Order: sequence, then C-alpha cells, then structure tokens
Amino acid sequence: MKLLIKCTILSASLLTIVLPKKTAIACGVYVLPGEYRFWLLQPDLTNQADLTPFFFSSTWLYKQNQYAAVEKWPELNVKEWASQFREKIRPKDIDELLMVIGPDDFFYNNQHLADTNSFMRALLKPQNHQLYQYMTISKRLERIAAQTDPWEEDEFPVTGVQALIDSTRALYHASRSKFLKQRTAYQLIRLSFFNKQPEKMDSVYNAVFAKSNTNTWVKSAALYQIAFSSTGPKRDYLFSKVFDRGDYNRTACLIHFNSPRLDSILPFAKTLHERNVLLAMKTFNYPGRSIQLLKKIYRSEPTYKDLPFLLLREINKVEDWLMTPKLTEFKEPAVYQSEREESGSYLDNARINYRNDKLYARQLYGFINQMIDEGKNRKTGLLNLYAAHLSLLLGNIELSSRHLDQAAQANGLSKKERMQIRIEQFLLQLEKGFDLNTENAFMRIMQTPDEKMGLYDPSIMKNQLILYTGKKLIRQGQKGKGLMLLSRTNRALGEGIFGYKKLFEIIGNIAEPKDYDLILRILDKKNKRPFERFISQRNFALPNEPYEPDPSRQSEYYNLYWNRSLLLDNKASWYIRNYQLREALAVLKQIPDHYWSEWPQDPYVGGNPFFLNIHHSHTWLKEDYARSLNKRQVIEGMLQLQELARKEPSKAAICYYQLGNAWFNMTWHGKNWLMVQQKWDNEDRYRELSDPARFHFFKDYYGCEQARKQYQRALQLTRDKKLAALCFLMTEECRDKMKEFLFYRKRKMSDWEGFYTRKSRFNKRLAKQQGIDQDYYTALVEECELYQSFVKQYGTWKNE
Amino acid sequence: MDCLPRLTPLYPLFLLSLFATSCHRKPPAIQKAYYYWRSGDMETSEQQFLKQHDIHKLYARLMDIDWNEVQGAIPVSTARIDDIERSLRVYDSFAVEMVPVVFITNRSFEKIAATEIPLLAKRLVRRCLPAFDETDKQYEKSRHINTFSVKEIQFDCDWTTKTAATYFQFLKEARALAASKGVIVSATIRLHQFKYPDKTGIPPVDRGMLMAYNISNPRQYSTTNSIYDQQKAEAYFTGKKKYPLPLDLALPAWSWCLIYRNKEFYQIENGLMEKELDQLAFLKKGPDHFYTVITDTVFHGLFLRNGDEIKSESIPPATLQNAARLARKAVNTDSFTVSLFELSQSEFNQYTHETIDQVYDSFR
Repeated sequence: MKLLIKCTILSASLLTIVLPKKTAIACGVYVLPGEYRFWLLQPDLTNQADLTPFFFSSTWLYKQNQYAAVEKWPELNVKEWASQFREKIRPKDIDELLMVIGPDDFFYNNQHLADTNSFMRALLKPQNHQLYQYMTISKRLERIAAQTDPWEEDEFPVTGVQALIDSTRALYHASRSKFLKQRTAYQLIRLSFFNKQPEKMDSVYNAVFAKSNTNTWVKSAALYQIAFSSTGPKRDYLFSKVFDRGDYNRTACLIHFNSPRLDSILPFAKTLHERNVLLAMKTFNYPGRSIQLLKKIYRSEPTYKDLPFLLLREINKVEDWLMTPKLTEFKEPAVYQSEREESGSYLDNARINYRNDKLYARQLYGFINQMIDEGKNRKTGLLNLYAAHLSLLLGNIELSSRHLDQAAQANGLSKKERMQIRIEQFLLQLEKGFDLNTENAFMRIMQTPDEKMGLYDPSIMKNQLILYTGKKLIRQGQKGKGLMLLSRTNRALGEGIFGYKKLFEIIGNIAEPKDYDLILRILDKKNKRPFERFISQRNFALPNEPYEPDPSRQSEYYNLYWNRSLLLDNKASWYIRNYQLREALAVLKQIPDHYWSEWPQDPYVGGNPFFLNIHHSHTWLKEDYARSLNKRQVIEGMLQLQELARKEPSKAAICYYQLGNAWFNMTWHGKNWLMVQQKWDNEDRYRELSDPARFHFFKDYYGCEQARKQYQRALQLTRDKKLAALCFLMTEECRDKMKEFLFYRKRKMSDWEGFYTRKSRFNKRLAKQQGIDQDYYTALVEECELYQSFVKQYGTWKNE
Repeated sequence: MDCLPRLTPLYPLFLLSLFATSCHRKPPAIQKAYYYWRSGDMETSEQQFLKQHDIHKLYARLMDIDWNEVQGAIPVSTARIDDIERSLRVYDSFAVEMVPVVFITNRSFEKIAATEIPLLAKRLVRRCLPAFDETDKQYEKSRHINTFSVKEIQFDCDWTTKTAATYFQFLKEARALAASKGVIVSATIRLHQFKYPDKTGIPPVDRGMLMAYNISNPRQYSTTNSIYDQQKAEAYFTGKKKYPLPLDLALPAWSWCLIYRNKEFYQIENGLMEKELDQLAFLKKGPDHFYTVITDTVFHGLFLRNGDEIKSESIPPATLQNAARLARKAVNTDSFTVSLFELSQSEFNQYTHETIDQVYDSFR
C-alpha cells in the first residue's frame, strides 16, 4: 500500500486507541433517580399526605418534590379564625385572605376586599379592631419575609422591623384573647428571626409556649421557627419535637433533620419516646436497610405511630431492589448519579446484591410476622397486608394467601387498604396463570375509575400493574399477550437510544413467529374480549408526555403503534436470524411495497448487499447506488444465489462469496443491520452480550459466524486465485470479529478500559497452509486499490 | 472732530469683521448617547450599533425604587449594568461611559418621612458608585460586581408640586454625597417641568435631561401619539427664557402598542410593531394606527376580546428629526449630550444609519 495511506490508517488506528472511552458512548436517556422505581404496594397506604415527599414511589423520592406535602395546619387555622366571630364567615374567604391575598392587595385594595370577602368585612368591624390589627401585622410580616434585606446591606437589626416588633408587642399586651396572644407571640418570634435576634425568640417562646399544654398548631409553628434559627444537634432535636407534635411542616422537619449526626442528637432525648422519634427521623432519611432501627423502635414502643409508614417504606425499598432492574432494565437507585457511566462494580455484584436483598426481604417478613404474632401493635390488618405482599415478593404464594385472608378479615380497613387487598388477590391469581378469570379480575381493576380507586395516584398503580402483568405473562410463556399488554403501560421498559426503550425493540428481541401470529390474530379479531380490546388499542402508551401523533408524519412514529407491516417485518427478521430464508420471503411478500420506501427502511436498508468493502463496511459506496435492494429483494437475491450455486457448480464459489457479503452486511459491522435487528448503537457490542438467550444471534451479528461460513465455502470451491485470496481475507476478518465479540463478552465490566486489539492483519502461515497465493494475498492486504478492484469485480458480478 | 471723516471708511470693515467672527463661532460639543432600559445582557447587534455610530455614553437603568408600606422606599427591580460595561470594554474593546439611572416613583416621595431621606440618598448613591464605603465594598465583593468608573448618576422621577420639596431635598443630599467622590448628578426633566419651572421647581442637580417625549398620557384613549406629537410638543417650547439648568436632551426612538378595552386602558405591549399587527388575521385595521380585535384570541399571553382595540405608536424617521429640531430650542450650553431612547435592536432597525447620524449631527 502506498505510504500515505499506510500513515493515514496508522494514525487513525492510534487515534481510536487513544480516544477516551466516553466519546464512544452513545447518547442515552437520563432518568432521574426514583423516576421509574417499581412498586406494587401503594406507598401512601397509611394515608399520611403531609409526608408525601417521603412516599417511596416512582414519581417522588425523598427530596425531589418537597412541596407535595399536604399540610394540615392551614385548615386548622381557618377553623380557629372562624371560631372568633359570631357571624358565619365563609371558610374559603378566610383561606383566601390568609393564604392568597398578598400584602400589596391587602393594603391598597382594602375596600374592594371588603366588598368581596366576608372575612375582611368582619375584620373591619369596630369590635374586631384587634383582630384587624393583628392581620395588618401579619401582612406586613409577609412582606418582610419575602424580602428580608431589600437593600442587601446585611446590617441587623433593621429599624423598620424593630418598629413592627414594638407594635406587635403592644398588641400582645393589650389583648386578652388566648387566640390572639398565641398568634402575636408567634409573630414576635418570627420578627425576631428576621431581625437576627435569636435570644429574643427564645425568651418569647419560653414565656408563652414552653410551659403551656396547648395543642394548637401555633405552638408547633413557633417551635419550628426556633428550631430553624438554631444550630448544631440542638436544631435537629427541636425539629424532632415539632415533627412529633404532628401538625406542622413534618416534611420540612425531615428535610432539615441532619440524620448523619444522630449520635450527637440522641443525648438531647429526655424520654424513650423522644429517642424513638429521633430514630424514626433517621429512618425516614435512610435509603438503605433500616430493619435494625425499626426493631429498636418497636422493642421500646410497639405502638409508635409512624412505625406502619416506616415499615411500608421498607417494603417499597425491597420491591425496588428486587423488581426494578428486572422489570424496567434500569439499575436500582443505589447506583446513584452514575447512570451515564457503566458501573463495573454494579454488574459484577448484581447477583450478590440480589441474593442479599432477598435475604433482607425474608428478615423483614420475619420481623413483621413477629409483630403480628405478638399483637402489640394493633394494626393487624395492615401488618398482614404487608406480610402478604412480602411473601408474594418472596414467591411464597400459600403464605401470602393466608396473610391476605387475615388482612381481609380485619375491621376498620381504609379504602386504600381494601383496594390494595383487591390488587393482592389479583397478583395471587396471576401466579397461577392468566386464565379467563384472572383476565377479568385484571380488567376489573383497569376499568375502575381512578377516582373510585381511593389511591393517591391510581394511574401509576395501574401502569405498574400492567408492566408487572405483561412481564409475568412473557415469563409464563404467553409472550404474544404479554408483549401486547406492555403496549398499555407508560412505565419505562428500559433504556434505548435517544430515549426509553421502544416496545418493538423488545418484540424484535424475544418474539417468535407464533407470537407474531397471535398478535396479528388478536389485532384482526372481530369480537374482542374486553382484555383483547384493551391490549390492541392502536397507539402505545409512552413514558414521555402524552402525544398525539401527527397523521401527516406517521412514518416517524412507525414503531409507536400496532404497525402490521413492522410486525411482519420483525417476524421475517426472526426467520432470517434462524436461516429460514424461504419462510422469511413468504412473510416479506405480505408487506406492501410502499413500506420499503418509508422510514427507517429507507435509508437503513438498501445498497448492494452482495457488495462489501471491508474498509467501509458501514457506509454506502458508488456500487451501492448502482444496485439498491430492499429487504424483500435482498432475500430474493440470496435465495437466487443459493439456487444458482446448486445448479451451476462453476459459479458456486462466487455465489457463496456474495452470500458471505450479504450475511456480513446483515451484521453489526455492515450496512443492512436493520434486516435482523431493530436498532443499532455503537455501545451495543459492550452492553448486551452476556444474554445467553441471544448468543446464537450474537455469534452471527457480532461474530460474523454465518458470513464466515459462506466465505469458507467459497474458498473451498474456487479455483480462482484472486477470489481465493479475497475469501481467505474475509474469513480472517470474520474470525477476528468473532474474537472481538468473545473478548467483550467474557470481560468483566471492571475491565472496562480494555480494548480488543487485533494481533495481526494477516496470517501468512495459515494462508500458506490453505494454499493461498502469497503474492496475491499480500498485495490484497497491502494495496487498497487492488483490494477495491477485487471486491468490485466479485461483488458486482451479475448473478443471473 | 477731524478724525471722523478719516475713520468712516473703516466702519464697514469693522462691521464685516464682527460678522465674520460671529459666523465662525465655535460649534457646540455634542456627546452622543443612548438609553439602555432593559434588564439583561446586551445583544451583539446592539453592541455593534454603538460601535457603528461611535456612541460612547449609555444611560443604563440600574434600578427602580417604589414605596412599600412595611419597608419604605425599596428597590423593586435591579439590573446588572456592570456586566454590560465590562462586556463592551473587555470583549469589544469599546469603552463606554455608563451613567447609572435610578427611577423613583413619585409615590415614594409622597410617603417618605423627611428623616428617611438622607438614608435613601446614601443607599442610592452607594449602589450607583463603586466602593462608595465599606458596606458597598462588601456588597460588591459578595456579588462579584465588576466595578467601573462613574462620572455621572441620574435620577428619574416625575415629581409633582406636592412632592417637589421632598424630592429636591433628596437630590441635594445625593448630590453632596456624589460630589464628595467627584461625580455629578443629573435629573430627568419632563416637558411640563421644562415649560413651568417656576411652578414645578428646578431640581438642585448639576444637569437636567430634558425628555422631549411622553407628550400625553398613554392611558387616555386618544388618536394622538402619546409618545410624541409635534403640535402638542411645540407648545412646550414657546418660552423665551432658557431653562436655568444646563440641559442634555433625550429624544424618542421607540415604539409600543397600547391596548384598550371599551376605550379604557388595558395594557402596554412593548416590542410589538405595527407591521406585525398588519399580518394578524384577528385584527382589522382602522384609522390613526388603531386595530380592532374581531375575534376572541390569546395573543402574547393576553386574552383579547372581540372589540378590544390596539393602538400602535411609533416614531417614524421624519418625526424623530422633527423632535430633534424642536428640542434644539432648549439647548442652553455649548457642551451637552444628546441621547435617544431606547437602545434595542427592534427599535433602531426602524431607522437607517443615516437617520441616526443625522439626528445627532443636527445639533452641531
């Protein structure tokens, strides 16, 4: 080969070795930790809406949305205000004035407010002048809270705020009403906070609230303010006091609680209960295994009020660890912040982790069962429901069934608990198979209107159920139905290229001809059962925002709805992968011609499949434009070549050579990969190779095994020295691709940095053994122009 | 008196020399400037514009001050003009004198106590000048403010006779503080204040910026252009006495749309051009740059109802030139600044380069 070309190839090769790995990684979807965690035990079963951000669910995770909490105190506040007036005041007006009307509107639109708001009207009456005065103080304080230091001078105390403190103090002393005294005291605490006077905050709290046994949420709010301005472990302790009172900003208390320093907070606890509250707050913030903490709490306080919620979260964690990777192909969120990088330690330890997680699930079950047996915690119905779900996770159907029966018999079950029992009953039925009864039970759940389900997020529950059931059906051998069912879930099915994995990719990977036949039968069926109607809805549900496909751009959404042609195409691909070309052709003939000129067939299948330039195997060259075949034509061509080879032995070698090219072009390395696989990604050859079910396909797709066999056959049959040299070169190329495939398949993810490197461009010794003409072969390898002329000569030979 | 017949032939020569010298009077020194009123970074095209027209002075809005019942006169919006200055100087190698402008609502001076005025003045001068005092240095350091040299600060307030005393007290305080750092203070003068200085008062500042626009109240439903109307504007320039404060001039070079519902003012829509209104199917064009909404629609975030009216107001090149000619009458010094309002790509694209240059040159 000429020196310049040699240098170019050498430089390019060096570059490939030196180039950082990450540049080779394709763009993938970035899924927020917690976005697609799997659960089937409702995370809000214990009905604690004020702790919504701590539901362990797919939509929220810990501090992802701290504003999701539904606080109790606003409603309490409205009731307390309403009780101050003899006349009836609309609660909505009180709420509006307290929570919606801002300071500017309050001060500048007084009269207009009085016209429209009954609460404002009541406040303006002379007999309520102290209440009105309080309201003006409150609104002024809102203004200060919004912009504590408008001039950004960091100089405290501020004169304006001090003036407001003085008038608030005056009102406190002038008022005889406990209602007003508590509130003015609270505002004094807040004002001192904004004025950076913490010592004054403490003195007001101690004087007014500390020794009072009042149950008002205002005390909790005042204590929260004190906690907020404190530092160190004392701050966390004070937050725990507010948290325990249960009526104000519980979520915020958890968020601010610095659980890693629990050991330095515990000494502040004066009673066992206070200690348990601290342990509970740590548990709320802990993403790992918390059973030891839960046992500690239970031992000293079996009826601790947050224990059921903490147990629920623990079961959700276990569900996530055991189920999320299996059902969604996403890694469990313990691999935090590293979704974009291959984590060697994760894959290596996945089996160990799973085993440990299962062990942990058993331990958790054991603990819950112990709680049931001891009867110290009276929520037996709920505990049995937990035990039933855990047993199901662990595969113990009989045990699960027993616990579920116990749960169903409990008194005083909430709507959520009853719904969960229904779901558990369906899941137990599903374990035995998906017969007509199970199908109907499933549809009953699906058809229950969301508002009647009584769940916090019924849509997520239904979609999780669909995902679970679909995957279960596939495992039970009902692949066709299972795959169709997956089209109805908006939970992510895994990571694809440039987004979530598409259903058709999964169909392409696992469906067999009988599954395609079943899918098509159901789609075409006239009188469908409700389940069949459900699963054959045209457009797929998607993880992304709902979309309405633009009919004029139908081809772009070709794989997002039940596309008959695509189904047949995939079926044909299965036949091709299994070397059944005639069967493949019979299927391809059922596909209308216009399909081949639509995206992505055009441009991803085309060119001359019987021509191959190994140095440009992935791209179209001049020869491809001269003869471009669609998938059906490729198979027709291959069958013709087989037939020709059989009928005319003198042409057999060249036929097999071209067949070798066609098979090579249908590999990951070639240009017609779409003939056998629905997608292509640069990372594929590092990613999915260990799947044993696909080894047979991968041998051809990455290892070029089938192509090599054709070249080998051509080599054995030919007397043409040139063709022999070319075929030998191609068999060596294929062998090398196989070595590369096996190298990547065997290597552990911790060997990530290792690249496969080819030992030698050509094997002279082997060539000699095979009787290959050395001169031809050397020239072929070293001279690109010669190589190009060879491949053109034999690759564009007309086979008629 | 024998000398008289000898001197008589010299007399015409004397008159001629007088005439010659008066014709070669030194032309006024004009500084070209523009107002930059937006928050946020300047567009590349706007930076280019300044360079093309060799404009080295920018009046940039630093903040707005309004009254708050709880906290008094406080900033309600602020802009980072230091970034603009730095960007021009460092990346474009184009030095620009930045004049920080503070807009203060009249309401602030209605409400503020006299005892609070020195503090307000100090706070504002502190924010306008770099490293004014220790508090300022801390503020600039913590917010990574790029300091630049300031020669002038400007206050913009449409004061009334009721608030004149308070406002002027504020200006006195501010001026004294600024002068201690070698900085002059200017204040905007509106046309009615220009015409009736005896009634409205003369602000105690170093210079005034006469705003030769805002002829009438845009909230009033009217067919005249509220930004500038030649006939109405001329009425302000009938006085013979010069304004007793060195004046700079600000000319109108912007446009907007005013929206009326049942002939009541509804909204101002900046950045909306008349040629855009011509393209909209839900509008029917009427006389005097009025457009009527003929079908309910949502546009620019507004819900417009059938019958609403949109009035487009702009300053065509000829009007701008007329405004310049008229404003020349107010010139009372040999050295002054002529500024256009406001710097924005969509606004200066309404004019050719020649028009802009002619407007500035018309003052020489």
